[in-house]
Amino acid sequence: MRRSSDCPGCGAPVQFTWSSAVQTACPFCKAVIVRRDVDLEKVGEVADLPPDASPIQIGSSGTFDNKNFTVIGRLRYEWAQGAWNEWHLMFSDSSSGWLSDAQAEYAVSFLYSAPEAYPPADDLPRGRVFQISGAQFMVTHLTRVHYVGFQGELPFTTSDRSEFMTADLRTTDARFGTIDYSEQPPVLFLGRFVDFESLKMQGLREYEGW
Amino acid sequence: MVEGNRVPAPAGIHCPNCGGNIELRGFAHTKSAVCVQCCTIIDPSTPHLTILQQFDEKMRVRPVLPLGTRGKWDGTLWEVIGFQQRTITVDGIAYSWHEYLLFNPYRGFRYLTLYNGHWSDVQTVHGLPSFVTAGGKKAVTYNGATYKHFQNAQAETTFVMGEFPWAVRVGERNTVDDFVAPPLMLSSEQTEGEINWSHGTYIDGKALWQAFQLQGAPPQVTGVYASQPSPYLGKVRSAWNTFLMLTLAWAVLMAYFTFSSSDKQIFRKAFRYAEATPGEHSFVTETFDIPGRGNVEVLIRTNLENNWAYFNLALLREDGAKGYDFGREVSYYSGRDSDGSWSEGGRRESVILPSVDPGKYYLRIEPDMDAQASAQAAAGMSMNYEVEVRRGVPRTFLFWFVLPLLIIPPIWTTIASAAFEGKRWAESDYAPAASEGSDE
Amino acid sequence: MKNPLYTLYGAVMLGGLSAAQWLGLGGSPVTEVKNVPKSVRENPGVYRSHYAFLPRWFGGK
Repeated sequence: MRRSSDCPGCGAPVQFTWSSAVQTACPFCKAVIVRRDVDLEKVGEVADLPPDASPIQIGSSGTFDNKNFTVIGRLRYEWAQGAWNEWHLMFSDSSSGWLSDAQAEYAVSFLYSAPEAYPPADDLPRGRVFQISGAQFMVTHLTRVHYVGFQGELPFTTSDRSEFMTADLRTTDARFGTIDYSEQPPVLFLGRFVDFESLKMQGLREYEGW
Repeated sequence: MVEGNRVPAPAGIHCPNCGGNIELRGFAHTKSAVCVQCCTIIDPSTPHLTILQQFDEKMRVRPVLPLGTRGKWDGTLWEVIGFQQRTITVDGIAYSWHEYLLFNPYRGFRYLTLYNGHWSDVQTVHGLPSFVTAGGKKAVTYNGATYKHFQNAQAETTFVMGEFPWAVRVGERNTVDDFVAPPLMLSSEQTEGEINWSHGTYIDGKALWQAFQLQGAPPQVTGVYASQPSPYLGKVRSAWNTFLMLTLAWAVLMAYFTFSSSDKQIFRKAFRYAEATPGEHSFVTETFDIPGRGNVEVLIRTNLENNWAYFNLALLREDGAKGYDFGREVSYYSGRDSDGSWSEGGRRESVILPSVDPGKYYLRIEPDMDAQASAQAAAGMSMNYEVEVRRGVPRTFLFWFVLPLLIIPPIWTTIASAAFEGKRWAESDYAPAASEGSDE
Repeated sequence: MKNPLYTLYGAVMLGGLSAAQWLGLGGSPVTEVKNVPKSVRENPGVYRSHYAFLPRWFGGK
């Protein structure tokens, strides 16, 4: 897999930090570039994201479960009561994960590959318990999510995203899951809430006055 | 990347209602900011500064932690950016508390609550508490601790100041359930069917005042707070443990004094007394040697039957320098009536003389029987008796006197602890009926 | 020690108890008399007990 190609929009060289990246944005012409096999395709233009207070930015790095990661992409979502970021992490072993940051509450999650059929979001009552990898996950929140935009490199394309449902699952020990209905069939992310200090992050944004 | 590395300080806004300046501190997190001049809640994230609410000014409350105050708490620098008063109404009485919203751009949000001078440090809970029953009461377990249900109430937001990362509104009501495991408290808030949990730790206002470098003293503490740790926490158990140790020491001492007593017979002699015998009835014994140290017991054994005798006794030192003077009555009556056989008194009597110096002693014995009785009866009165003197007799009387004194502190601690818990739970949904009645 | 005050209290109690026990305190009420005349040995009747004049209980049913 080539790490560098020319932007189909403006011809500028486009670098991929992560070999498995599917979507990125051209830093020069703001084209949304999707990689199909070896070809790059322009599928639209990125919109500027609204101002954001997250201390994390693309290029920030940190540690989770003794594995180093670099932040290479970002998804911005909104829901009825606010907005949050899903930072796309590339780990030192080339695996990928997500660091969600909702009002500076942080959680790290990974796509859970074991297949399971989840009922549609409309049929999923709060309080429903799923037995997943030896733990009981209870549905606590059902959220209508609005996709705002992205930055950097992602493992999938967001060109078809607008609104979708998610179901939040919780355990008794601060692990969590998200059933993501943006894809069919829905996919499950599993992870846990983390203390910001424990991530030992570097390359963070600084705040004037702090 | 296009994005700057440094986030500029949030620019203040002008209140779209009164034009007053509103300082902002929460960067892009802020979803509501309150204009203190005209009590208007504004969404500063909207381009036209949407007014969310205008609320009644007469409910103005003064925060004790001023907005903008910064302090290092739990290892992190926090800034007070929001303040709200929330109120519950129980039996027509309103109870209000303060909630201070703390912010750090890296660590997010945290709350300090203040009720009657009691402070709690509150954070969002990410795990899911499990509902259980503990001792027949509703409870939840979380992180290995069991929290007992304390109160269910409708909490109404009654005043707001500063800014919040959500759309805050005065008059908004939430169902709040508090569960306590002092000094910890778990609270659930239900909003539109969703339950959100927060976890509070009871903290000392003075520590807060120091951390935030505030002038004066924190508000006066009154009453017992739901999650206030009992000053008797663990002390009841340890007091009983100490009691156990002291009782052990007490038993060892008693055993020591019992078995180390010489308990030696040093004099024993039988006598006969007859009232009819003319002349002086008093007499002295031969001298005997009292060795060592300790007490001396003088035992009198008689063969009295339905009669009494009085013994004037004196244990006198041979040199006359010292003596012990005492008297004892011996009486024994028995018989049979409709209830069966009965008896009263005893045929023997014992006198303990404390700490008698060693030396040569003799006894002066003066027996006396009923001289006032009829001469005929008196003439026939007689008894056989025996006097014994023992040295170093084990005595446990004082031990039984001390034991109840030793048990006072653990009993007091137990009662005081129960009283403290009583005050705590009197504020809960589980108050005893009596105290509920007295509120009427 | 978790209850220093209580432990101290207990130690004082047990110490006092030991001292009282050592001294033989807590005996029966007796009157200590001094300078008893030697003649008591020869003539016991001249000595009058302190208790001889106390009111007595004339027991029985």
